[in-house]
Amino acid sequence: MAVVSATITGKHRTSSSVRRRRPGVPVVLDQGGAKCFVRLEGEVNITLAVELKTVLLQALASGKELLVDLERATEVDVTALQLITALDRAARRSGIRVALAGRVPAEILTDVVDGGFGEFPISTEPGVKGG
Amino acid sequence: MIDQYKQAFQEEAREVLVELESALLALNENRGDKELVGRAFRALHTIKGSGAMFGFDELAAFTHNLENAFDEVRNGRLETTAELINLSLTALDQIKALLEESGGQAASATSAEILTRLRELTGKAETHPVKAPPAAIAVPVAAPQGAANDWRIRFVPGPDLLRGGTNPLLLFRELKQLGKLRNIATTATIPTLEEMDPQLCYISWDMVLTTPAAREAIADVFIFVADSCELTIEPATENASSVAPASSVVPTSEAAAPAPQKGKYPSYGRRAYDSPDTASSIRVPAAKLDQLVNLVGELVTVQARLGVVANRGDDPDMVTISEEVERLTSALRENSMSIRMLPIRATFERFRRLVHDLARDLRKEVELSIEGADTELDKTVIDQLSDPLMHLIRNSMDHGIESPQERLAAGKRPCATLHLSARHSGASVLISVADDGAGINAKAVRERAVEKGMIAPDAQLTEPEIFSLILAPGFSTAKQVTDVSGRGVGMDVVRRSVEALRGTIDIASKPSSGTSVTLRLPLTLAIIDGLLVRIGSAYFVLPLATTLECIELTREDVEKTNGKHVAYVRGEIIPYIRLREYFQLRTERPEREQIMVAETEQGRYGFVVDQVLGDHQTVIKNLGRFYRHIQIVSGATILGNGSVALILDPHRLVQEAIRTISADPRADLRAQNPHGRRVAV
Repeated sequence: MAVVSATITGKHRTSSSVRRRRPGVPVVLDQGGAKCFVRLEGEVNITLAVELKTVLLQALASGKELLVDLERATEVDVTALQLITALDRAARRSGIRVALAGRVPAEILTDVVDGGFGEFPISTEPGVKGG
Repeated sequence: MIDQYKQAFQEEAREVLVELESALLALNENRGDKELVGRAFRALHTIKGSGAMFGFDELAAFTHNLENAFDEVRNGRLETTAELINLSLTALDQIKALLEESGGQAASATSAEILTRLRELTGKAETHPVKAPPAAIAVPVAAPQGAANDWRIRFVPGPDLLRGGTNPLLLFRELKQLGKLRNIATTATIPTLEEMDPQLCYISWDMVLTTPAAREAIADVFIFVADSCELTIEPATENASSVAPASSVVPTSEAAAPAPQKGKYPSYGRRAYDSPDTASSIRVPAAKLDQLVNLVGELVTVQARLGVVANRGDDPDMVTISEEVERLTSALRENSMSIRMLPIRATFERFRRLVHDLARDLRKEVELSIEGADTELDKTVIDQLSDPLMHLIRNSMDHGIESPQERLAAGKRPCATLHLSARHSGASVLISVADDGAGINAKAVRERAVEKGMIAPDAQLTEPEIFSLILAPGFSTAKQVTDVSGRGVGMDVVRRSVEALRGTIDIASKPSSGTSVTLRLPLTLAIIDGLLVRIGSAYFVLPLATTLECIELTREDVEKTNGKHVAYVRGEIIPYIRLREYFQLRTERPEREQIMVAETEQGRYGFVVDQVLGDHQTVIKNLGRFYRHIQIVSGATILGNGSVALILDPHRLVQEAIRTISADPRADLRAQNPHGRRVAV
């Protein structure tokens, strides 16, 4: 299964290995399977905003069901929340389903609720418990 | 966090520290002034909050304790004593060290020592802000107590808020520490994914905070972002739940999101924070500005060449283009030079601390007054001014100003005044350091100079000439060398620095009334407006700012004055200097010459030249160290035809002419000019 990862320099790398998390790459796009995964790791803040937008647009262009994985994220700031909100809207318009792939760390969820978002901009994939 | 944001924080924090220092020093003079306590508190709060946000955890923790102390002061539980101010100033130095992250273990030890002293003073235990990585904001000062009120808060960040490194989520965390927070984000304004600039902030927030804290405490949370947002904090009169302007349903999609209400919330476009005085300034590294000015300098030189070439031919289009380029170059030059102009305020304000510390160490009472702090001058000049001003202040406080007892005995106020002032005068700026101390003892200076072999025992010196002896290296009349001054190094530094800036020093002093040292400095060191003149085949430039008018001098006029070097201009006698003779240029004198009348420190003087060619944008080039001692020339410039013209310093030219004639016993050509000064004619 091919893993395409967008690094912060925007370069695309191809690996022939099976799905594998590349340590230290904060934004990873994995669209090799039936679903398209966007994995975010560490501090997802303004320093990654431009790259995250690029990756989300690529994910959307794949036309596949989108899953956003935040399990390994330690921080999600307003830039990321805006992008995820915009992704959700765009996906709905195109009839694409978008959901969270796993649990959202409790600290992030607290920030999101206190930040006036009520809950995370996209809902959790059925069968996965949030927080 | 990336270094770029850290650096931006450091730069901003340095400015906040200047504000804090000024507030503390002012507070020292007006103990109990609530406004000043508030200023100090807000500065500390800003540094703490933003420090934590940018990963300066030690700085945030340290500042947090000092902030606590000022909260006690704010609430009337702690008094502003001299001890507290002094300790706060020491703590401020420590914050500076932590900000530069240069202290290491020694810095931690100093922090601990200061906090121990602070604890003794406040009687409170040291507290630590809650660390909530990765970028936490410290907990507020103290959990507010009393009856809780509902506050309606509307927070509309400017689009660039996030780019400045601010994360609004951290502000909400801090608000939550004050009480119960209900928050609604308006996300309907987020554009489509394709259209959005991911670094801009598109969201605004409406909150209801139930807290016993005062409005001030709530506003304090937003201090760091106050300039880049619209913020409304008002008491909620109705039921809090009905206050929220957006629906309580969380907007997760376009359909669910409340539509922005027209007129109620301004659209993303121009808002209050976009007003020119807040959003229109940017930070630029000084080196880039220097580069810009250098490039403009090169452009001015090339433009002059273009002008010469265009006028040589007979192509009218070429002439038009050349004139257009000249106009644009001139505008560009003025613009780029104005970018480098800074008010001297920050430099002056920095000395408040020096005066405070020195007064404490020397056990003297000194009040610093500042005038003309908004006077602008070139950044390069400001940068090089700090050292000489510091030495002048140290000198004045150590030698000039007397102890309170001595002052009382002399019938003066025990508290001395040190006055720092700046003002423009033509193309120069005058910076003065004046005190009302004992004044310079001219007799002692003279004796010391004779003792050191600097002057002959029978030398006839005027008072200003005697005073200028104190500028010589190693000269000191101080009986004791103190930590502050007395080694005779300081005034030499002043002289060297001011000369390097092509400035002059004027010292005036009266026994028991005080001393005033005035530095005359050029406004800029890069490009000036000059007047190009010719004598034979030699070209010179005179600064346009000092030039008053140009009059003709015929042989007939010269005969009328019996060969004396004076001209009558509308009934006024103007002495003049013949530059041809002064520079010993062996060329034929034309029938009609021209006198450039200039305003100098010694009064109005004329400079006789063959021809005035017109105004000239003059890029100042240094003559190099071999010519540094030639003071009548302030530099050179390259003309359009590739030749070099010397830039003359009219003040020095006149001074030098007077000195030459005064020193020559055979010179009897002396007269009194209309301004009462001795002149050479």
